[in-house]
Amino acid sequence: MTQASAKTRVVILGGGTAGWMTAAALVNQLSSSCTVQLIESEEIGIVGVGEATLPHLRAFIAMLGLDEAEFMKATHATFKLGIEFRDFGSIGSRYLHPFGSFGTELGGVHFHHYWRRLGAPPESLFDCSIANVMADRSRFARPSADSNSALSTYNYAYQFDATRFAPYMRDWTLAHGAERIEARVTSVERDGEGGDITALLLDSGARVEGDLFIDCSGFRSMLLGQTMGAEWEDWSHWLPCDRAVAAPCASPAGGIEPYTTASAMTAGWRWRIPLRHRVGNGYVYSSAHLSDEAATDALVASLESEPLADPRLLRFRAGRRKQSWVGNVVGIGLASGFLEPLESTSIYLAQGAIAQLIDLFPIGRVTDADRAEFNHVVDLEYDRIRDFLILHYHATTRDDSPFWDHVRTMRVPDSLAEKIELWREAGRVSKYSHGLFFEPSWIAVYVGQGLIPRHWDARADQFDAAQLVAAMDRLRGQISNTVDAMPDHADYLGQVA
Amino acid sequence: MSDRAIRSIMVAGDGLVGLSAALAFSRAFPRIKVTILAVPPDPAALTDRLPWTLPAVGRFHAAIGFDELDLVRRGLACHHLGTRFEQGATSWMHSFGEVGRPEGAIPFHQLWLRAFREGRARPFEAYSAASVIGAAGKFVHPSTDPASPLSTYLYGLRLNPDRYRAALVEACAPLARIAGEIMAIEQNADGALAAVLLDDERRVEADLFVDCTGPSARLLSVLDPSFVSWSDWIPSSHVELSWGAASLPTPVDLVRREGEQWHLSANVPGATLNATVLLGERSAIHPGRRPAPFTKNVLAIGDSSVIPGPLLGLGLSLAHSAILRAIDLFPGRDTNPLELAEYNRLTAQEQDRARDLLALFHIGETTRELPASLARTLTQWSARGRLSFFEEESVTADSWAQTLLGCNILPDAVTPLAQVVDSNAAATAMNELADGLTSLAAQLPDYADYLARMGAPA
Repeated sequence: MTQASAKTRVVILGGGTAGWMTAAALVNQLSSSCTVQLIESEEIGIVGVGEATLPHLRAFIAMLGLDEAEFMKATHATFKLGIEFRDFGSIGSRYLHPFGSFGTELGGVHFHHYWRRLGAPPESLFDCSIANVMADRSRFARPSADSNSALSTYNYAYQFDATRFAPYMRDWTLAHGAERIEARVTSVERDGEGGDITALLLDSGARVEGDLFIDCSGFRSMLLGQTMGAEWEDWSHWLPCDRAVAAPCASPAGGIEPYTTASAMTAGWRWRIPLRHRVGNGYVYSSAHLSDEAATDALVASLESEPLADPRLLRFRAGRRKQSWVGNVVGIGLASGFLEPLESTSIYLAQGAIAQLIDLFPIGRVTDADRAEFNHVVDLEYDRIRDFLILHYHATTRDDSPFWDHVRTMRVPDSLAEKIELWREAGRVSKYSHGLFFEPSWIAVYVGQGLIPRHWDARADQFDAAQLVAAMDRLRGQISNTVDAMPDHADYLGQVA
Repeated sequence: MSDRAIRSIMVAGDGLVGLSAALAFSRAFPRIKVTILAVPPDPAALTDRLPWTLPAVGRFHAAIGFDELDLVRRGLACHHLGTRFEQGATSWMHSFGEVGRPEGAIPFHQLWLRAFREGRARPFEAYSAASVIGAAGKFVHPSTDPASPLSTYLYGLRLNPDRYRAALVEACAPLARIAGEIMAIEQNADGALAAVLLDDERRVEADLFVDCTGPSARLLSVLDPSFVSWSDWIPSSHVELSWGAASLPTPVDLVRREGEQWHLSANVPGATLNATVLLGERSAIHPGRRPAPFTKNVLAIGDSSVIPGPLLGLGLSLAHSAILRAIDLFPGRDTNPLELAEYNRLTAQEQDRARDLLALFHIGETTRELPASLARTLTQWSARGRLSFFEEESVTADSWAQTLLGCNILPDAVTPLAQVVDSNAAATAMNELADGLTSLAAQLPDYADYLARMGAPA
């Protein structure tokens, strides 16, 4: 055995966001254990709708040792403090799901119990989230690491041009030791006994052998789904949107919002993502409730300025593979599952799977235990995000279209029904600490979409109501002053990138 | 107060657990009338008689207004850095806080394991500040400066059970107290508890009944008698406690295994505890838990909810945690089943991981299939030294690593990630760390001197 072949030979199929992020992380973390080859074809486009991200991406950027300013410049990125939801709970309603918490704990009791006890309106809760107020006023400053500071109660992510992010990752990765192969896969060679993939045959005539194959081929799921036959678990009865039509338009004059907007539409919702050089737009809809033409017309009609490109149609289905790691094939990104970008989770899901792959990287042969552990953790992530997304559709009074009638009245997963009832009854958020979307996120969507709990923590009764009102007013005033002292988001961007 | 609020709580049991619960509920909810029903103690309620608490005791004491310095000066509590386990020629420490320093995402135990395989690691405990300081018989409070090695450890408290109980009684003085024996229990049509009937024919009503009566769970078992036994993995035992004269205080306990016996010895203020744990069939302590400790308007805490057994002294800390969780998730008078389900779910997760840790001490002695969560931990640990994540994990990663290695369960391989760190550089850093801890410990005061300086009674 030669020195080189002692390393695990990793072959990644597909050079989109998931593929290049996987390659980058492996080269960065496991260069002494593996070699990385990535096969992609310029003939196959990348989906690239993942323009809005979650704060976790910062850790990935930091892990690779990338310069944030340079990264933001290359991807035309803006800062993101949360997601604004319009018309979800009811037509005319709006709220922002901030990347940050609400108010401060008092006597071990979370802030929203005091807010509820006072019977105050939703705005007075949201005004106690610094990230929400920053977003409202288009301000930006970096959070503080000092846990005593109010500036430590929020986080930020990026809004960027996904078609630039993958190439940016690619350039970095190629400079750090991965090999890129420009080709299409024509057939897959498998081991007769175990069924593991042994090699990929390319249209160039080449044959690429590997020990571990990472399927980042997108919706096609060429290795995990088509070759290994990983079964699909369909969630479209809960998340019926299965199409999107996307079109960028020119940035309006003036500021740049540090947040993404999701506006509910008659058969789905529309995104608006402000980047440095343009605004990304798209209508995510259910083809059972709306034709492609009608969706395109509705999107174009909603644009604030001239479209910069022809509308592009995407097809998908909500769900995931029952197993994301089968044999020696690991699916990452869309090859493993898909959840609509309502909460910007696509890149996070890929990143989470990459982190698990690194932690469970095969030592010698792949074992059943590796696969079981990986699939367990990935499933948990998907299931929790699924419930959170369904909540956005189900917690509504909208009855203006068959689409909203369906999602409003559908039977949701038991795991979600129980969470909702616990909130409605007691104002408590079912506790978990692994995965995505913790208490403040659930509170934002519950309250933002009109689910006000019947009761609150009994300890909140012990304080004098007038004193609580005064304390909340003071907090709001402090947050307001702090935010007013922050620079404008667009100005801040101009300085950093 | 909303009209759904619980107005009255009756706590049955006035041992450490019952008094702690009564005090904590009365502090958290001053408007609720808390009554203690002082039923005679159950000798099998080990949690009421053992002295140990984990580092989380600080949070519980804050909730009930107990101050550590005051407890030490009054001779109620002394500090606890860890426990030395001995069996045959093997000896290892379970101590509180961090062992070694991680390198980025690579846990220290992975670096240790590699060095161990290369033949250049000292015992795992040599890299733990609590172990090194404790083994030297020294103690100081941890530093708040994150740059100091003295900031890397934690400590629990060991209590003098009689004196500590007296302090709880004193603090509970404002609460109503009824002495008596439970003769009968009256249920509503919906199955909830309506009242407890006492031997003097008194009838005590409450909105919420807290069952701290010990393993028999005299209130809860009326509503739900089921019990999940852990005896497949943690043997039943008979425990003999013998309290002797005080000896020179050390911050470390000693636990020795000899055949079917465990011998435990620990300092508490004013006394030395020597306990013998006899494993076997004719036993009084049967480890396990109640599947739904919060059922209708009855909340079981302590041995009426979970019986972890004597090893590691987890009982009181599990009770503290359950009390604080019940306060955080305190339901209304309607005790909505969804709210109780959330409490029971989190409590079961915590208790099952305590079970998994305790089961390690008897691994290899059972032919029964292991609990799924422990099997997962062992599989991942053995394959690559990975510690799988569990919700409500009650055992720290450092505790797991110490105990797994202490029980001689070594991973078959080191994570490939460890290769990011140069092996020689890591070994040098490990040596420096261990040497630093040893020389640091030499400079610290003897525990007895430190206690005297704090003003503890001689």
